[in-house]
Amino acid sequence: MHTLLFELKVLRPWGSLIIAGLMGIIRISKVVSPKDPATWAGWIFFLEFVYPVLLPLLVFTFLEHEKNWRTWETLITVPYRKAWVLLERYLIVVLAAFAGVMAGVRPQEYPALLAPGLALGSLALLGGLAFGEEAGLGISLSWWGISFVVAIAKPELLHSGIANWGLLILSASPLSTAEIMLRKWCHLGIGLVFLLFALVLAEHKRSWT
Amino acid sequence: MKITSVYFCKEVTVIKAEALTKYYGIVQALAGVDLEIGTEVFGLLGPNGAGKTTFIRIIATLLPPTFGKATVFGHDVVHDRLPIRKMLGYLPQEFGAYPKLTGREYLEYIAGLKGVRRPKEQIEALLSQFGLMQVARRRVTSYSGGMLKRLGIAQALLGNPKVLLVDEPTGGLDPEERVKFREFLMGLRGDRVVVLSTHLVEDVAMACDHLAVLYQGRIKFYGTPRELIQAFQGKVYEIEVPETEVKEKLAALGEQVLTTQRRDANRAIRILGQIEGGCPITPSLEDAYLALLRS
Repeated sequence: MHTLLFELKVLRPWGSLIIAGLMGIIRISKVVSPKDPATWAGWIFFLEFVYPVLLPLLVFTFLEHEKNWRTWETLITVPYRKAWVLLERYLIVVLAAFAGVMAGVRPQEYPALLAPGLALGSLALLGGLAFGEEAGLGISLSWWGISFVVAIAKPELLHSGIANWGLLILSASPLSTAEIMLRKWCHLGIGLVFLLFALVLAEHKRSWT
Repeated sequence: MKITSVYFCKEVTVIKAEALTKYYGIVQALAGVDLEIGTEVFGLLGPNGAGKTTFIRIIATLLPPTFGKATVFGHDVVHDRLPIRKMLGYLPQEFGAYPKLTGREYLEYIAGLKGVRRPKEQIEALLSQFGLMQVARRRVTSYSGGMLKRLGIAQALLGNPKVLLVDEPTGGLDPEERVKFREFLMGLRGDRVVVLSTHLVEDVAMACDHLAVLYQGRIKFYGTPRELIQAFQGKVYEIEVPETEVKEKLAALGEQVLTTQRRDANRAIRILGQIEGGCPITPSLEDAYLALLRS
């Protein structure tokens, strides 16, 4: 808890965090309670197609800050806690990103909302720690880009099992809602596995140079 | 000036390097360094690119050596990193702190991560010791280079580490701050080892019990500052030439020149080796260091 407060200060996007927090509050307090997502076609399109990119971009930003501020090397003297530092920062951006839009989504769709973002964000984190933050962002955006292009230009490819398990945007697929949700849960799980690997790697990463 | 193949420091060996070698691609940064450092303030002196930072980073477990072995209190820097990190205070050459935190917050943050007991007392003492009390509530982003360096030294000392590695700590400090810092380093003598990596001879002269001169990845000298001076006793000469002739003289003397100093309308030139019209002088540590690099 002690370090979480400092991580908030390190990131310090106060405006975004306050807005995200308020959005979360109005949803939890049921001031806003979306019933029929079909009436929000543009919103759903945004959440499915564009929103997942937010997390890898945020991950890229904080990794780049860490590198530019030259703070990682100093953390060599805090064994076992570098992963904790990274996890707290990641959770802050994930929760803020989630809270910012949860008011417009029904609870049963939360996994579908979180899964692609978490998968992409965790991959950006893992790739960023392993190969540099640009590479991490690049790998992550490539996955999203292929998913986007297939969903827009070649949705028939989503008939294939490899495509509909491996790609992130499935709203244009012929799958049933239950099948889509199963794949989203799988993407969520992949995101958590990537995150776990990233945290292990963070403990071993000694320096950015 | 090799005295033995292995350089012994004190009875209690804290840091031990054996044939420590590091390559960056095809570039050799360290070429088989053998060194033992005890509980003292130890100076690692050398020009830029000599391999000082590489040595420090290997000891700090930030870099693995290509060949050879290094241990800290018997723990191997490659296979046994965790216990080393637990006893380590480290100030990197390019120290950075989170700019959105205040100085005090940054120290509280690092103390929290290090698991320092009674952090407030230590933080207050360090802020006071390094003259940061007045700016403790200011964000790090507003700090000058010297303030940031002092904050870096303060964070390295949090938790009272047994091994303190400081890489070019006085760069960016003004003369008064440098003197204070050296005095502070001298005060750290006791049951810990302080390794000071620097290219500034006066840092070593004032603060260190022993020093090693690293040059092109090899140890060129090991001993006390006095021993380094003694090694060049009678070998350094000084001549005074009018300012108008300085250029010609320097060109003629070439690599022999160690230092020059202005004296009214003349220039005193210190050189390595005898010269007609020159008189032998007792070299300063800087003269001896430069003579060592030339020899």
